[in-house]
Amino acid sequence: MISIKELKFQKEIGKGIYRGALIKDSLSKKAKINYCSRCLYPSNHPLGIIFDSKGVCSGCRIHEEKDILNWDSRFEKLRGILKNYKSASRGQYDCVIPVSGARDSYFIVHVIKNVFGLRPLLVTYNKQYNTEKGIRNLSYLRTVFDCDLLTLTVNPETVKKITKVSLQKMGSMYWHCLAGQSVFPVQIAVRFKIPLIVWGAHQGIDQVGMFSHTDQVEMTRKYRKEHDLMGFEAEDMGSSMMHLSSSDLAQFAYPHDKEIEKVGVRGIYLNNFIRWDSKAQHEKMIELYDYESGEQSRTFDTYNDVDCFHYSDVHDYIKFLKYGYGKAMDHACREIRLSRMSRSEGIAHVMKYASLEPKSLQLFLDWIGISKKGFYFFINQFRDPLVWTRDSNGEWILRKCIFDFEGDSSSLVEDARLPLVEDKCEFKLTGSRTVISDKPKYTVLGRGFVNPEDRTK
Amino acid sequence: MLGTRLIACLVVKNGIAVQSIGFSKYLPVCRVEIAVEYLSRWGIDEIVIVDIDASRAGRSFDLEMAQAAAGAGFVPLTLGGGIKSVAEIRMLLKQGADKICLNNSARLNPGLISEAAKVFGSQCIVVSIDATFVDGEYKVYDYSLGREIETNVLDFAKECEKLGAGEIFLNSVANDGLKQGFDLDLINLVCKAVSIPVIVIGGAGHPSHFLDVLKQAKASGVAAGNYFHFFEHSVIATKNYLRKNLAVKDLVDPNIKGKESIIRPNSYVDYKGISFDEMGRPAKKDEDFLESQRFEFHPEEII
Repeated sequence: MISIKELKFQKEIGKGIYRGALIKDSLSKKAKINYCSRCLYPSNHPLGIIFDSKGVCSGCRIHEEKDILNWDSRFEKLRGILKNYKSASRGQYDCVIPVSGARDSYFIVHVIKNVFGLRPLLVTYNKQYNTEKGIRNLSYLRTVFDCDLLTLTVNPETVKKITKVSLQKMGSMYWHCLAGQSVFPVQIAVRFKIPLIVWGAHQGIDQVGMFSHTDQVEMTRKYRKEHDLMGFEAEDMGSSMMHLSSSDLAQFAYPHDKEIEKVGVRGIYLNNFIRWDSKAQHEKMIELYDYESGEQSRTFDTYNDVDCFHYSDVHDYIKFLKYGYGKAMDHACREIRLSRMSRSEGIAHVMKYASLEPKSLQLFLDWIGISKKGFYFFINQFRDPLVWTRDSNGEWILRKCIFDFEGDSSSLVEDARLPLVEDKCEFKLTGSRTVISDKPKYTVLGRGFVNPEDRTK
Repeated sequence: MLGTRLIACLVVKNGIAVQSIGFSKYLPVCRVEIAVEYLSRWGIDEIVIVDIDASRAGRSFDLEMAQAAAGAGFVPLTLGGGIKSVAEIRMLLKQGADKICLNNSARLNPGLISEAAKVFGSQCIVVSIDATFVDGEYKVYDYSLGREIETNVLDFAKECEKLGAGEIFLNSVANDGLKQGFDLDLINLVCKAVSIPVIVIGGAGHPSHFLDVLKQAKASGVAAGNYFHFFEHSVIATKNYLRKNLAVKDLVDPNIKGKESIIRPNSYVDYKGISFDEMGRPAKKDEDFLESQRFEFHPEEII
């Protein structure tokens, strides 16, 4: 049982939702962590995960639907939904598509615009941590699909303040990105009276099997608050210390329920209707539209997050420091489930990337203006005690992790194993349209005229 | 005549709300307090939280979870799972529960029903019955054994009523999580057998499933575990579906005068006048209406 004193302490930190629950779970369940006997996911997955009697996780079980469901008829279901949203008379946009310079953006626009013939309005939240490649992918996305693109750039000084608060409250450098990406499309839908938003994959379904594909789950503010925002709405981020007022946070605030209702805004996820295979989809986009891939410092997937300096780097390292695993684990699990990677290959990938120090930390620290020590001070408070402990010298050590299961050939693991359908799991590296400067600097977006020499300042 | 309640049931496993499918497969959904917060906002009439690990782990309902859940919403809250004594019930009521729900204890120690009803009143004591159809009759299912027991569901429901239970929470094991509709035969049999309110759950996947219950049975409440998590404002939309599709002449209960009285009122957000697509989700609004909304101002609700 947890003591009253500890409970009080948790309540003081961030309303006791996110961190409080985390600590409580870890302490009360006799500190035991499990790993799925098919993919590699641990029981402390932040989205929540359930293991069945065979030791297989809910994510793997839902993933089995990808080979069972009739995807042709599901595709027709999508056609049925989209048909209703095709504007007959208004000369308006049919739907909103949130895009970035990477991660499924090309595929979603490809499906909606070129396969179904809708007229989408593309929207993007400027996450500030932009790479040149990401901005170029984004510009070409707008060009090759001949769409309109709306960009929201929040004043970087405000974003820095918000990020300082989010580091302190939840150990996250990505709150503003997730909040912005998940709310800007909804604000635009409400403001322009465009009743449909089309998203790619629902992460809860794809990673942990939160819903069956047949549940046809739609966008909810509930999911956004818990998982994208880690329990903190914009209203919870105000800080007198940081001089952050509600007007600073207005761009991150969700439209109220009446506004959503009046326009009838719905958000649908394409992975409920299309057998989702991120790798194959990106390869198709490279072939059709010259999407640029790029090497990532902390994972083997070269397709997904090429638009950001930190997503597969500092942000991912933070995830490792909190939960004991990072992106390489997510990507390995995905490939294992798609029968392209063996369990041992997956573990080898995870071991290779898990504890690699991030390359772009200094870039982030310079931008936000805190020291390395300060950064680790914030993050260390959020290490999950289920996986992390301190040795007698005060050094953080992993108590148990997937490495301990290397070469595990117990009957559970053998029973859960999927036969490989492809011998190799290789991610392509495309060329780049232009020479990329080797100095790591955020690529500025939304600044109007910029001197060519100052292009990346 | 009280309106028929729409009730959300949060099944809790490993400390989080899960989807339950056939009493055997579970999918992680969200933290309990977040579900309570949003279901309340979406116009749910009542929430039932059942911790399915508690009895098996030999502990009572987690008090901190009770407290967090009670603080997150503003609708009546029923808690169940692992409750074995009057003292435990008292603790849960102190944390903010309005009713408690007995399942294992009602079977193993029926005396607790009458004891608790005497102390707290019948309105506070709900007995949860899981039913399964075996050899031509509905039998009580014991989830801790994973199979049915010899007791007949109707006999057991009558027995609970006699002991002082204020409500029956009736689940169908076979229909749980299948999204194919409720077991209407079961519901009708139990509703006719007892005179206390019966809340039914198991099988909701489309608003028409709720409609079937309202048309064909006299249940006091219709509940769903998984369904309300699937889309934004799910409860309000479902209520509107029922209003739109329910005719007074359809109802089996002759005491009902108007259909407004059978569905409880909505919140400020009301989805009035919407139509529905084949999944039962709110369909796209008329384009002229959307056009008319361009310069409309809709104030936020202030409570």
